[in-house]
Amino acid sequence: MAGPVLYSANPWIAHDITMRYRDGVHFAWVCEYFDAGTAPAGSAAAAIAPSSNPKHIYETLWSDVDKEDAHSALIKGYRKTFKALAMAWKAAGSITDDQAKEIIATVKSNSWKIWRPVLYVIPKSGIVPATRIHSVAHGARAAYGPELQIQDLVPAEFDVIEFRK
Amino acid sequence: MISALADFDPATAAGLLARAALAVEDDGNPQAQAVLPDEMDIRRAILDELFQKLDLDPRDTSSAVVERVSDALDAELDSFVGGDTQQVLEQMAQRGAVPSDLFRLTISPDVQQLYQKKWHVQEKLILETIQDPDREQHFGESEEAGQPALVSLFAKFFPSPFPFRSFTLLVAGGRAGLNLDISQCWHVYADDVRLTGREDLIEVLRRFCDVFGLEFEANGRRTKFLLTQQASNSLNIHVPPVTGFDARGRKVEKEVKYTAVVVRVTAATGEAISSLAIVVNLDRYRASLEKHGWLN
Repeated sequence: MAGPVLYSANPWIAHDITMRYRDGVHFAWVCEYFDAGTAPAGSAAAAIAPSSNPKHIYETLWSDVDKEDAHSALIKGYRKTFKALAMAWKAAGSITDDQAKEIIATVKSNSWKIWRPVLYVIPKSGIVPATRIHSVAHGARAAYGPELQIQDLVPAEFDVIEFRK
Repeated sequence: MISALADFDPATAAGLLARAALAVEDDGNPQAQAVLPDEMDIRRAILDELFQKLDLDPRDTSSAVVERVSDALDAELDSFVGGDTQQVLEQMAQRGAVPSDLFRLTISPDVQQLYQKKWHVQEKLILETIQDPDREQHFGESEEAGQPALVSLFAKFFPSPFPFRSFTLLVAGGRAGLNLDISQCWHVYADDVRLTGREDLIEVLRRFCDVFGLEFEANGRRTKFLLTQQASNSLNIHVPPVTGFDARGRKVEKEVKYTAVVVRVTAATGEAISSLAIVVNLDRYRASLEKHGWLN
């Protein structure tokens, strides 16, 4: 059953870039379940794809960083996304050319620690109005299970935690 | 270059390409929304061209196909990313804004000398502390007056099955671009140095000096801890004789082994800056390491 808290697993660099260059306004895919994988069969949570399950994302990132997996599909995907985001933000005039270069240089670098996972823990009651939590359309979900987004999450509305396996 | 973008100036073309790349990954991303009036047509043309170039079926929405198109868009974006990545990182490093696992490390021989036969273990802990610190603090080149410059501090807690032996390793050094020269490395034990966990790392070092530091004179000042000193000449540290009392209660000079440590860097202006100058009573510090089972 969905609880009063939303979870979002992300690489640490996502939080860092948002804090440094985006005034702390986060775009986050969030989930009502930390571990949808243990949900009872037939429940909505059980239909959430592993690639959208915060626990699975967290563990995969952790393992990829720990093993310094140069072929990590997840990290490769994040690299592409942040490069495209930097270019899109620059084109929109919301960051400078130098800032875009910094983001791209950082995500293209050999650093592993930037990809370590962090978990956003978001009390639902703090997201006002609640309509800021968007339900993702079925076509855009990884599977049938519910997936949510918050496009304007600010630091005062959530905690960022790191835990070791 | 994708021909659908040929008529656009580079800035507009890069924006179109970036938003197309984001849409392929996640078309719900607000940053992927079209900005230009006919952008969806242009995006379609970009993707059609890529599908053709990669010899892919546009109706195929499998993850493998999406991945190949996404890779191709990423490669196209590279042609719009100017600047030398390494140079950008060097500039960021001047501000202390790079991930710490990118630093090129050197460790002062004095630090190695301090830990002697345990050096092989100590070196690993230093690397771990820098690459994966619990806390880190970096000072850039143009900080406020009186603040250290081009200095980085790191701390990591190393728990032991015997709580008495658990310690925080405090490591500090000076930076020049991506080079980080470590000149200080101290074990901070809870029963020696009182910490609440809320102190910044400069304060941790200051408290460490309260316990293990000796008073010294530098450029006319007498202190146990000199935060920073901009000087055309190098900082001269003089340690006055340490006094104690003999069995009869008479004041006598004591022989104390000590080490003077300063983080020295050179600013872009060529000015020499000395920071975090301390003089550590090695007899007392080594006794603490022994007491906590580190040198055994």
